[in-house]
Amino acid sequence: MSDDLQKQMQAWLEQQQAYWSRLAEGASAGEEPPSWDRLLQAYRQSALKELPEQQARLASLLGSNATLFNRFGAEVLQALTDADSERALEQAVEQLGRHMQQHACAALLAQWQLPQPLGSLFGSEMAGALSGLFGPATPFDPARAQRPDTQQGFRLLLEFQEAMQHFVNLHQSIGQQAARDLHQRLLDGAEVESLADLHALWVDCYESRHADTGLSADYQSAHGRLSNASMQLQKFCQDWRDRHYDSLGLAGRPQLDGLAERQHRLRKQLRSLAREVADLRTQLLDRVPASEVAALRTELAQLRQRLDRLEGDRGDAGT
Amino acid sequence: MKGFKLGPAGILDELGDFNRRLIDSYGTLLGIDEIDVGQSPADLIHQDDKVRLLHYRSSRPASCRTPVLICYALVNRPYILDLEPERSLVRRLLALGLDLYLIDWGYPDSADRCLDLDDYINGYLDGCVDRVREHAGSTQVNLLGVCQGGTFSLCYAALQPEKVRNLVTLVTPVDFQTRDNRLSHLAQKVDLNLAIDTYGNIPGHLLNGSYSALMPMRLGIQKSLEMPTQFADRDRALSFLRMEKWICDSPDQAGEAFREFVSGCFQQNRLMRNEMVIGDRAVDLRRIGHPLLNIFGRHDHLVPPSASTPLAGLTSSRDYEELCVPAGHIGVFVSRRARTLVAPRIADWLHQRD
Repeated sequence: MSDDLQKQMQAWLEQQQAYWSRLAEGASAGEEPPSWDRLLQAYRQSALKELPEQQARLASLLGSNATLFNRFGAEVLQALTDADSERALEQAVEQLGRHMQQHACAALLAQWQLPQPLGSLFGSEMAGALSGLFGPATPFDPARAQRPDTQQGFRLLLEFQEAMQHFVNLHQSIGQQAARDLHQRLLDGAEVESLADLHALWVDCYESRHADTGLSADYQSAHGRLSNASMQLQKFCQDWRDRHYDSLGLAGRPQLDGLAERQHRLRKQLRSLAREVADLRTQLLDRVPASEVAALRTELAQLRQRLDRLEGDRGDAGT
Repeated sequence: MKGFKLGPAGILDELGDFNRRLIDSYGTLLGIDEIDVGQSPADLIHQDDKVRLLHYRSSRPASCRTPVLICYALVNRPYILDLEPERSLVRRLLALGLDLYLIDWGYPDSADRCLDLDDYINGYLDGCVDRVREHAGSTQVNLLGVCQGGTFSLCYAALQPEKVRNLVTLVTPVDFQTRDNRLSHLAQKVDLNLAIDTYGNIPGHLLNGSYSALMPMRLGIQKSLEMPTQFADRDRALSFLRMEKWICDSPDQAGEAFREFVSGCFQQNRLMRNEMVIGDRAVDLRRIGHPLLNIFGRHDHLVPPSASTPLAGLTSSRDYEELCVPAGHIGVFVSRRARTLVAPRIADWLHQRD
């Protein structure tokens, strides 16, 4: 790490510690220093751009999760200085649950986001119809929206949204149950001596509820529905694109798939033939004794020599 | 909240320590350019399409005459078995006198979307077994299958019993529909035909997403909050980064093989009923009469013990042993237990049956 970056980070940490100390003393804390995440963003353009992709991704993750942790730490500090610290602590713990739930939902949305912008996948015609539906700036064309393809696209999109909503609801319910469990465990006297302990306790509660819910029939159906809705939407877009390719005389996925299948059949035939040849060779060698094979090879070599000599003699006679 | 023993001074210290380690983490990350994995020297002795067969070099002659062929899963990369010198099952097994070969299935691309289980098991795996026998001058191999590769090894041993001397399965599922198998639970309602029609090959990152989603908090935010401790020094950071590299290095899955495997095993549990068909031949696990060592992780959330242990009653082996390792799915190969428990047990067991 460059000295400059090191100094900037140390300076940030000193500012941050002063802020936390003021919070702990119950004094007016003043303005919160710029978050770790923002500091990292500022440096992503300089020193961090040199990082390989994997390290850069981890660095980014570190930054955003550290921000969450620091924010929560600040909230607990504030709560401890409150006159009614018991109630304030409960609120801080509830806040932790909300933060974590937001985090879980954001991760879910990232996992299930459609891989490409819908507009580019859908092509200009569908994108126009969609933007007509969602974007007030573009005039909506009822004739276009009533075409069978467009209607099918809308149906699939709605199905995806509904499936996604149901899945997110299930996860929110897991988060709510986990928050209640955490609260109960704290009331029951679970030992918490650090923020990390509290975090770990939350994760235990969440994972326990997540594991139970994950084995329910409802979760299985919701996951299947969302997976299938996501794939149907993507396939719809691919089919749409293939029809455009076809109209331009270009090969689309069906043609390429057909070629791959033919190539695969040929590959199998080749492998099967190679195996048959190898088996035949083995059978032949098994049937004929090794001494006989050696004798035949010697005889063959002798015949070749005689043939060579005869051909040589004939050549000499010709000249 | 009587157990709540957090005070302002403690929190101040904790936040300060955490963020100091975070800054140090950055210094460590910026100082690491290359993440090296799979460093044990090996020779490429056979290649068939994208499949490569490696033979590991050893500084000492093998004391076990029958060569060991490691059949890894199609998902993720086999270098987890040789992640780094200090956590290498491969190195440990070599040091214990085994002659080791490993199948690297490679990275399927769009030209491989039609590859099916017949191609993988009766084609590539059989070709590798034959090449190992030829290379080692042995009529049989010891087959060591890992995870899905263990399931492949069971299928292969049932189809070609004469080529296998002993069978070792590591974290291998055989009953795919036990109550606690969350991965199987998620796979039940997924439309596989639609998946193949949509993707062709199944993208590796989708599968990775599914594995992470089984424990989203522990594998997500909890792991990242522990990173500053992991990155406290360069060696620990490198260990962590090697594992991260392996986790993200997830090849796409050949579409047809994926469909056959998930449909046949996860959705229909055919292996349990001896109804799995590979190519044109049914896989009857009762044809496995080989000595069998079945190793599984007690805390494995991907292949729970309940998915592995039914193997005991499915084969006709009269020499069946189990080893339950107090570890998770990956810990079985990379943890300290792997060095001190798993590798010696495999080596001893194979030597006794050589």
